[in-house]
Amino acid sequence: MQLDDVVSSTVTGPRVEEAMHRSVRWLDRCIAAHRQPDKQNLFAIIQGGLDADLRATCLEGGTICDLEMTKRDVPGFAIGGLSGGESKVQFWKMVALSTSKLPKDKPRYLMGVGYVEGRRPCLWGADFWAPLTLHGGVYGGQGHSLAVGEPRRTRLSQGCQGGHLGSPPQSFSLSAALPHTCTPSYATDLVVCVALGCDMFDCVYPTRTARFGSALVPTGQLQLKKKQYEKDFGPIDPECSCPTCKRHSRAFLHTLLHSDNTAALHHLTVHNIAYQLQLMSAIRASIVEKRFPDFVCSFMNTMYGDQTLCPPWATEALASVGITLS
Amino acid sequence: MKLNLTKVVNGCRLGKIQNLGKTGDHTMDIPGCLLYTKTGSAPHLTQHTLHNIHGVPAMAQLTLSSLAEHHEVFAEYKKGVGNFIGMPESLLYCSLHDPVSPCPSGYVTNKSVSVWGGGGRVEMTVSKFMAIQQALQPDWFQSLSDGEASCEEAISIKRARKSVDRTLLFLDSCLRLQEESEVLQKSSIIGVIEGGDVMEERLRSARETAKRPVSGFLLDGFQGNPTTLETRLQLLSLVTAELPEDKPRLICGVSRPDEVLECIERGVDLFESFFPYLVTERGCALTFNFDYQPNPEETLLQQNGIQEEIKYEDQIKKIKTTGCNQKMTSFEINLKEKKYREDFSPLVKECSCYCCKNHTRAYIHHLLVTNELLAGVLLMIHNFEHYFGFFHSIREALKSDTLAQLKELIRRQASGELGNTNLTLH
Repeated sequence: MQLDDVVSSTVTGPRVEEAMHRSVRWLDRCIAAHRQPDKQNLFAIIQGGLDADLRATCLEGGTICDLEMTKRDVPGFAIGGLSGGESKVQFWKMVALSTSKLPKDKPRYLMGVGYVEGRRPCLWGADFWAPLTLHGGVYGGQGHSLAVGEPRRTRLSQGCQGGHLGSPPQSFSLSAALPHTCTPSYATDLVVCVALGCDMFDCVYPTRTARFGSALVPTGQLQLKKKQYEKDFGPIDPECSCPTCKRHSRAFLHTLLHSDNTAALHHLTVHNIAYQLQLMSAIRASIVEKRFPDFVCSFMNTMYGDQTLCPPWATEALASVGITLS
Repeated sequence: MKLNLTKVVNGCRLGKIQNLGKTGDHTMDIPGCLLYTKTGSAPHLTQHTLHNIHGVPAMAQLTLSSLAEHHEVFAEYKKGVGNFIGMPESLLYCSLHDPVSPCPSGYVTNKSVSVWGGGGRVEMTVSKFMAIQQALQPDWFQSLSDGEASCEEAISIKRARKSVDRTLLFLDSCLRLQEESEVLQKSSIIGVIEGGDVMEERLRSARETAKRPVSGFLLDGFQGNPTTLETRLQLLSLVTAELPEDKPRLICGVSRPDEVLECIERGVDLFESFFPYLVTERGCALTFNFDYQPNPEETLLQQNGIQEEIKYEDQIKKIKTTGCNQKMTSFEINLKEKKYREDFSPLVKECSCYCCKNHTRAYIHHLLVTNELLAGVLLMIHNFEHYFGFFHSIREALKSDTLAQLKELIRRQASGELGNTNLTLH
């Protein structure tokens, strides 16, 4: 990746534009300095924050076909400057803008997926994570906000597993339609961004969340340290063929997670990576077999219990590329 | 189970224990070690990774201290701890305590013994203890015993006597309860020899325990630091002399290579393998040489003094200033040291473990500096494989009557004479 000037996506004002121009200049300098273009692929990184105009300028500044393009004939493009604290609505729009202006015959690499909207990137999936204020972010379409210091635990632990809509938590006066999206929408992000035209992704999430005792499953996540798994003698995912699921039960992992043996973390890391690879493999297969939209619908069904419970930002994003969740 | 001695050389027993396990078709070599586990798993290693290590012992050691608090889970599970931890093919020995975490003393009563797990103290009467063993269904388990004699410095004769009395009482109760349990018919009880440093009590414990229908013996109370073991070696010989030859002798709390050899010479068969784990936890790698018949070229290199003089001093200093066996020994190198930053050789030159075949000292150093979990994984792989290789070399040495050479080689390394170069040319 080129050296770029990264600015948080929640920053506004001239700093964003400065970063965008600088990134373009630095790209040129990187290209000029690159000594092994035949052995190493130098990717450009599209910046511009959440400003559509700036982002477009960055893109066109980097991709417009004229004499400039020859000089900036990079093998691939990364979409950067997102997955900070921006809202999901802004996030998907910037991704869509970026992919629409990038050449179709070069890889598009979305840098960093899987941050929950309105929050600073931090450890999540962890029970002990201290809550931060939602910056007026939309949480599944409902304008809820939590004050700093309010215990998240109650809320997160209710109905956060499986595609079931649990009963609303008692300690908060929220509407009954509290969506299931109290789990981070990591896998959803991936599926939606594939639909929007991204090819490659990176994220610390699966391995990091594993180290906090969280296992990824098609219906969300399992916080295996919780007491409910103490005597659950089935594997994390009966459909998963990873070494962890082939040999070990949730109960064993629960026990091991409460010990100081790091093997527990490795078991979960292996599983989460397998989940990850399996998901992408399934996406690819569905594209090749020309049934990607059906795949998306089915995915959302499993993840949210019902397609209509898919977070609105995702529904919108998918609709923008012709995928309708019925 | 049947112990077949191939030969006995200068007090060292070489042989095999056969017909082990629920299906009766497992075999264990002696002298040998047990795979050390924490909460039913080798430290840092998934089963998958564990299988990539060469020479993993047929029997793994589980500790009641890590499992007792989960009693209800096992009771509900019903299929035994081997299946629960994902090691259905392995032989399992359940010890009372974890050799790495010494337990506080003052908690044994005439009726109960306590272990300390992650969730705190678990007190067990004989019936609770046996109920837990019923739920675990290990192949072997240590009988409930009073091992506090080993927690204290100078133990009184009275206390030593008490430890023997209580332990025998516990043993008889356990044996009785085992008779009444269908589930435990396939499990074997290991009798525990107590008595502190009081010879009469030790002999009494040995003789009395030997009268019971136990499947083997655990020599408790010999752990400590290298100096305390030395003073107890004679006692150890006297104890093993009282034990029947056709039953295995285990010792707890002794795992260092030099100590292992001393104990083998005094009739001990099986050891715990927590030493490689301790080495791993301090960011070190076992590099001691157990190849007592090196090829002529290597011998020449050694004689030509490739070793760095400075190393001797370091090793000797370390040994002199530390009495506790939790500090670094001369059997290992400390990968955190700056000098490994650009050392692109493997941990041990001719080691066939996954770590040495794929990675360098520099990489391990980097992982340690950046606090990566992978450091523990790779070091554990190497340290276990190196340690198991050591035991293999002991058995080979006994076969070929060359244990004296191996012992000398280990002795010279323990004292820092040979330095710790692993004969790598820089």
